[in-house]
Amino acid sequence: MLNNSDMRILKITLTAIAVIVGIILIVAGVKIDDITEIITNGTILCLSCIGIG
Amino acid sequence: MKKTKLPIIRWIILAISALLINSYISGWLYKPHLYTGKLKAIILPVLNCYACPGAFPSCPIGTIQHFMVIKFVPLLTLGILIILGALVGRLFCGWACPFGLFQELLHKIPTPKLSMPRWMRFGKYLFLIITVFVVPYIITDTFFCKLCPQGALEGGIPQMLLKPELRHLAGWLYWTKIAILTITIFLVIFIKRFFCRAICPLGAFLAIFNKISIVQMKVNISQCTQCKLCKKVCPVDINIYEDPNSPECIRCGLCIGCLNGVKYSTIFSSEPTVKPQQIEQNPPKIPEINNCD
Repeated sequence: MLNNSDMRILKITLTAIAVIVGIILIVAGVKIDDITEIITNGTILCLSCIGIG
Repeated sequence: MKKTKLPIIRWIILAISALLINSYISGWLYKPHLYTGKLKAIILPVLNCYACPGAFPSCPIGTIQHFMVIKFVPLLTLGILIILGALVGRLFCGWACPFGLFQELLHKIPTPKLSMPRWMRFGKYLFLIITVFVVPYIITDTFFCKLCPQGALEGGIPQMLLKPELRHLAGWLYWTKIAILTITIFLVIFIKRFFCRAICPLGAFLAIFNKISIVQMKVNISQCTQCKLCKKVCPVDINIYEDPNSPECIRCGLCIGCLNGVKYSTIFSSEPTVKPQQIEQNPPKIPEINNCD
């Protein structure tokens, strides 16, 4: 069983890993032009959302 | 309960957030249409339908499904959600989500209130995996959007009202969505934030990070009397002292008013996280005040 100090270090490590993974995903997403895909998808009326398709 | 300005500030921020996110006035008024500018690239971790005529940002859940449909990994969307989850956990659910605001307003209607069975909170994880990732990938369609009550509320109803030419297309799916919205409204009147706790896939995604997020909640062991007033004011009906960083906690801070027993903290704080058994072993000494009222 981890004590409070070890638990805190583990949580900080996991947070750091999550942030690093997040940054890597964002950079990769920007490089492969996810932004254009997101804008294109967002500007077309979502038929599922409004319940007609 | 100590009176603080936090609840009022939170209501104001929730209302401003809902208004700003859906403030594309032209979309509402002039030949109703969707916003098509670059702000549509913004992914906010709140449930707001991008079929809403006034919506600026894209819906994260709709975007993830779209990438599943086209068989691509939604790298940018997942990256943004992971970073924001790691920073603040479910704080956006409590401070910025328009659908959360809608549910809390409905729950203000004076009726007998009910508790949600604890097992139902696992439902949102199933909705996340099955209806957002797996089914859209298989059937190549945005499946969760077909069920989403926020889509009916912000997309379906306004679009039908503003665009008469769409009305003849309203078939069984439209009325199913309206039925789901009606059932959701009925449930949240009686059960605190039922949708957030049992169904919301975005809440499920952010909940994964609640225990490790930089923003944390802390309970002061020496001042908590376990009077459960925190549960009474909590919009998601949790005992904060049992698990200050429960995946269900939306970091609204409404429990903070209780004798300063609860407060915002960070993961870097060296104060120990309190567990219920610790409280039982070290019962708090409350000299004069014996209840949070």
